[in-house]
Amino acid sequence: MLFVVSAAGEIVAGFLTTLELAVSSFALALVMGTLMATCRVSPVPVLRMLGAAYVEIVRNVPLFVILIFLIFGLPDTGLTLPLFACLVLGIGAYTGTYVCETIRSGILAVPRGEIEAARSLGFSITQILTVIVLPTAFRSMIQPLANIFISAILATALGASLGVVELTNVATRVQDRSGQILTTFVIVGAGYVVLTLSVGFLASWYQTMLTGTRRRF
Amino acid sequence: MAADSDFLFDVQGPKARRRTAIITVLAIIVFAAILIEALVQLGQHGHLSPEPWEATFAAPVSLYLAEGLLLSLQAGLIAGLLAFPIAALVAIVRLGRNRYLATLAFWYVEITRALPLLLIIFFFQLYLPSTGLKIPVFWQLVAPLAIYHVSVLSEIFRAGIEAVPRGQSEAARSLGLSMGWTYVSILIPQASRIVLPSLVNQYIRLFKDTSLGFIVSYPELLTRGRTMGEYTGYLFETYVVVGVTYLVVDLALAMIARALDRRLRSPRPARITKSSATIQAHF
Repeated sequence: MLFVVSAAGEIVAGFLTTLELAVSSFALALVMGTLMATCRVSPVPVLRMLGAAYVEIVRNVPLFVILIFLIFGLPDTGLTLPLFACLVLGIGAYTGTYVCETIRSGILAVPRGEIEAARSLGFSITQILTVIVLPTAFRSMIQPLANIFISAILATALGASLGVVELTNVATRVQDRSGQILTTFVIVGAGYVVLTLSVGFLASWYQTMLTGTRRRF
Repeated sequence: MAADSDFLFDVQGPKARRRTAIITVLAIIVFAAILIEALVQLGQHGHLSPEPWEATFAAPVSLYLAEGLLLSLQAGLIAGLLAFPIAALVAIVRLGRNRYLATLAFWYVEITRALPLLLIIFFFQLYLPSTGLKIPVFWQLVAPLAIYHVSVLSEIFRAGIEAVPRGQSEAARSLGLSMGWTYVSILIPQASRIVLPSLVNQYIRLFKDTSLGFIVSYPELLTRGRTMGEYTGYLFETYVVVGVTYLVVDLALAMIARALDRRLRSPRPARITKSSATIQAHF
């Protein structure tokens, strides 16, 4: 077990890189997802088509293929992005499609009566979305969004095979050096489990705070 | 333009129509500008000339890639076929009366779902050989895929069984059916209609995950794409072709899912709606 102590710094650094990747990708996903969801429910047909095309195209290509394309395909066209940026862009855009669909179905789940009431009071679509729909929809979206964040955390592991020294990559390095394969993987696996379980726990805690009712998680 | 979000706004009057027209024109201009810039960049680097595309679509290359697609489909199919019965079993055990087995199934699901698939693949690739067990590349991909997707599939099955009204199984039990028969003749037939759309969606995810075969050098579509791209020297073109191939296959599968959804939705309203939100749908 001594090797764990000597590798502790490395493992913690990998853990932090994973977290950094996940948080920046998820931030990008939230921005893109909200923007595209707004496009998808807007009254302008062109914007609807744009939103639909984004979701259908990006979601139906494997994330790993998107990452490989960004890292190895794009430099061919004279556009070389830093490795970290490629990962954030790929994971963010891919995760954004799930955010977009979650927000859209959250919007569609808001009772029609509320929206019709707002419309008959003369609210514009922007007002309806920002004042009525999104605040109501947000409560039903916390749990799904937390799940998407967890998926983003797990997706960052793909960086391990592309040269980013995050948690999974650290696992392969440490086991290679120490020869303690099983122990290394159990420790790193536990890192992921703790991370994802605490995100799920925080989300249900926040949900309880917000609505006062307890939901299963 | 009929859409499900129509209730968000009124029928457009002259003012709103003018605004819509302005936004439409602006969006098209911005989009066209981006497209033209992209095309100019591609042209400057020679990606618009016919040679690279001809080389990528040349018969031996495209045949090699098509074979890769078949290997991808094969890996996905075998992993899916393996995962299906195990996932059903895990779901039934979790709902069953044996506390110990249920707890075991619970932890299996929670832990495998919380791990990145890549970590499981690396574990198989690195740990098993060290114990003297050599497994072929195919299983280095398919076994982790199955292990991972069993947990997600079992959650889908569980949600489906729980979505069948309680009275159904209570009625069956009070009529003297054994638990096994209740599952076979009452619960599974009803649950299967409920879960079918999410099941197809999960299989799309599984198919997308076969691209991780790249990491264990299983010669599926993406691996072969890289080999070919490096061979012809046209990486960009090859990856575009690979990406579009995945897109087409997944869209076809998604269309099946949607058609199933429509067919199943019409006669009966019972669907997983609440619980599908709690299924962690990892990509």
